[in-house]
Amino acid sequence: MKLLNLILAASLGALSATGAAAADISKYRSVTDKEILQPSDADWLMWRRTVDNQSYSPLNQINTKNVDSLKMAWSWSFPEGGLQEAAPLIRDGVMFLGINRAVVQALDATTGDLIWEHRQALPEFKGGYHASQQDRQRNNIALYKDKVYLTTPDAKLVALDAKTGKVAWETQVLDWEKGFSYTAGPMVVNGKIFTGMSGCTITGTAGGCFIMAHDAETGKELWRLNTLSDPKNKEVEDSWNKIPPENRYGGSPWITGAYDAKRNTLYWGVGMPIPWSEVLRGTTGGSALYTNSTLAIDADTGKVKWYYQHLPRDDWDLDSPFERVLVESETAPKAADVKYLSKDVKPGKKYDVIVTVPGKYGTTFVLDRDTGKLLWARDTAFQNVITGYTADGKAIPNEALIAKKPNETVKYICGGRGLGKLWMAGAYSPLTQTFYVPVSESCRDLTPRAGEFREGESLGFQSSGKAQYAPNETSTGRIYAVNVKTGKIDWVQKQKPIFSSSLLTTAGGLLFGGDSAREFAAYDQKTGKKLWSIKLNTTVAGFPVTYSVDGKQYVAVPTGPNAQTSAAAALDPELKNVVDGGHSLFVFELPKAAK
Amino acid sequence: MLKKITTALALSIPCAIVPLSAHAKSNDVIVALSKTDSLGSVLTDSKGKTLYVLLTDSPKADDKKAALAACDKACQDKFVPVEASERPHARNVVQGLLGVTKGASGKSQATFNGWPLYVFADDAKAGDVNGQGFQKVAYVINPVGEVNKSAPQAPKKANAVTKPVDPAVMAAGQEKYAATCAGCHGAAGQGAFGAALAGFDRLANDNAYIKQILVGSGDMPGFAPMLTDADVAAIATFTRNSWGNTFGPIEADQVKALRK
Repeated sequence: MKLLNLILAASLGALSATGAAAADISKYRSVTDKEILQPSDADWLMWRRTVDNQSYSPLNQINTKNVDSLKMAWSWSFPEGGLQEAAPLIRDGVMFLGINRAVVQALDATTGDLIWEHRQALPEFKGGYHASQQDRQRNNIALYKDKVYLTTPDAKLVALDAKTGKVAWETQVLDWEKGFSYTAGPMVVNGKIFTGMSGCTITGTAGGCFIMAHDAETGKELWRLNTLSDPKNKEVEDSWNKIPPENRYGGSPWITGAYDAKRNTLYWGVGMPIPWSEVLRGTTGGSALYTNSTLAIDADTGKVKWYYQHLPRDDWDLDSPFERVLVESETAPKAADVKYLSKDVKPGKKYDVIVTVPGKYGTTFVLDRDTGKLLWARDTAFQNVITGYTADGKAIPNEALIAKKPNETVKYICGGRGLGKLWMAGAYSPLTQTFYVPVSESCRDLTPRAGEFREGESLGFQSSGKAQYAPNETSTGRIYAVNVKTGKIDWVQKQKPIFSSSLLTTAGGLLFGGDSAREFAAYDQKTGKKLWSIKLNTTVAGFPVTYSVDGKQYVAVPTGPNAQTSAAAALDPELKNVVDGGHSLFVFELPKAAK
Repeated sequence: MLKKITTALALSIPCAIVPLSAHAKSNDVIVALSKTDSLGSVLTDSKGKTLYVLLTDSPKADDKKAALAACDKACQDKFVPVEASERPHARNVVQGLLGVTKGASGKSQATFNGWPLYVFADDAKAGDVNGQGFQKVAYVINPVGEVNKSAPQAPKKANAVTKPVDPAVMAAGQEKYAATCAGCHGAAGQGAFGAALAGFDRLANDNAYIKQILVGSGDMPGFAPMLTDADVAAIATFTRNSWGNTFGPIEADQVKALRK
């Protein structure tokens, strides 16, 4: 700490002494409501850059023609370890890093020089859930007006002054001692902070998990939506097989949602029910709403406009909170190219859709944003948990793989529990009308095992066998290029190392992503051809981003351990040959001559 | 005999702050979790009276036959069925293990993991376990749904001296830990994908920790097929006595006893 203070002091000293050594934070411009919806090409203001979660940058200085000359501009060590799921944000040449243990740093985005650091005081977590969650904080910050908003593992919202890192206010959102925790970051739009709570797998959280809105000026709660109960919606209450609301668990909306300004609507994903198997959950036969659903939420009131449940009766912890990506596109696959196609889909018509691979089992869903209707769906990785769809587009779970009694092992469930889709987010490119999504492909045996309720601990109550390869496969790492217009998979990148970072698309025709064997690479969006790659210090991680300062484009990517690497290494011991440390940020640029 | 239950038991889990009665209808039958010094975790009714299962209800024909021979009508009459018309209301127990069945009495009776539940006529107050082992027919059931046939234990002394740790076992445990566990739990028990083991109080519970290693849970696989009893004991001894942990040794015999 003392050392960091010294570094901080030195950095600030340098800044005030020369005024040019680092980005001039004193001139930081407040992020406007308009910019949130339509940011400058140079900036990366939130998790997936824009409220539609596309993770697409209009920058094209670095492109398919020159990417092979990329070189390192600067690098930086993260001050905290743990799992690496950070998403750097950039505004006017200042980079903001939301780091594990609720540390936030502001750096000069052209040099990495430290401008300020905020170190949130946290309770001392003694083992259990919070001790691990504080070391896997994901995209835990967002920029809005003159503030940096931070979500914390002890379920607080904190507003920092973007110029100084000083705390403007903080508010305890829910009681962390019951189990609640933030692992994903906020989305701030039109004066409201939207967040999804985590930790609803923990004993003390019974009865509710929440998507919430707070006032960005004051931190006052505006609304909350319970993902496990809706007394006004009989369908929800009837889906729990008479388990009363106070005995329901799960439904953590643990990935940041998307926002549609035209409809003033949030689209947010909800996680799995708890315990993981229905025979222990007590919901046998019930779909357990709103778990594993997409919710369309009125941003002003928190009311659910519609829901679509991607995986009813989840018996396998396959979760469905992952990124919802908003796209405007024609979408008219041939019936033969997808597993489900709505009869209402009209060729040639442009739709406002949600494209998502919401759950660990890897299936792609395309939903109509107005109605929540499923337009089409298809698998990416091999899965056997959804057998098909009803005529009106409801997913049908595979009853044969649902455990009928405690301690009964169900074999070879394919849908990658522990090694399927995870937080690593896909990216969309309007150039190709394609959603690129990283998924690990695997199968597992699962056994429901009842346990005792203990304070601060998870109620999953299921043990898993070792990860196994999917049928006829000898590797698990995948990037699928899912064409939203045709429903086809235009290309797939298959390899042994898992894709351990999120993906990034750019107007330069590039797709960036990294893997657990240290390789960070740029692919041609059209063909999947690898155009450039570099071996970094350890597992490539978090969220690669791109930004521009003074007319020069940079690409940044974090490194550090990924939650799936242990499971992947159990499949292939070679994948263990990476040191699980070295949490860093690497930033790349074109050489001067190539500019 | 209908049991009228109106008050809720204060639960032993401190985080469960919603009173049971807040949501329970007055005619709900309530099953609660309680910790006893003598038998560990048991189920109780809303007044804290211990719940039993009877081997006369056993799904195993031999056990049932033996139990019926050992427990005549007078014996059986000491156990009062917990009557319930629908799944009993309960907090902090696995909901899926709760149910109802048509009991031996012919009336609808609350069940846990398929076992009809009873209270014992000679239990006077909360915490009494006088029915345990009665005629080798009645036993408490733990919150995992297992029938607990052990004899009531005298409470442990508060400052029981932990046994000394064998340095050779520690060395063996360190090696096995590095090869088997460190990938998820960190070379220094700091955790990463797996839970942090340094300072983790739960390691103090011998049986729970051994079972965790053998059986696994969540994303942690069971290691029973890969590790010998001595390996498990060495790993557990190492983690329980490293990085500031001082929970004492685990013996191979303890591991052996928990393998099924």
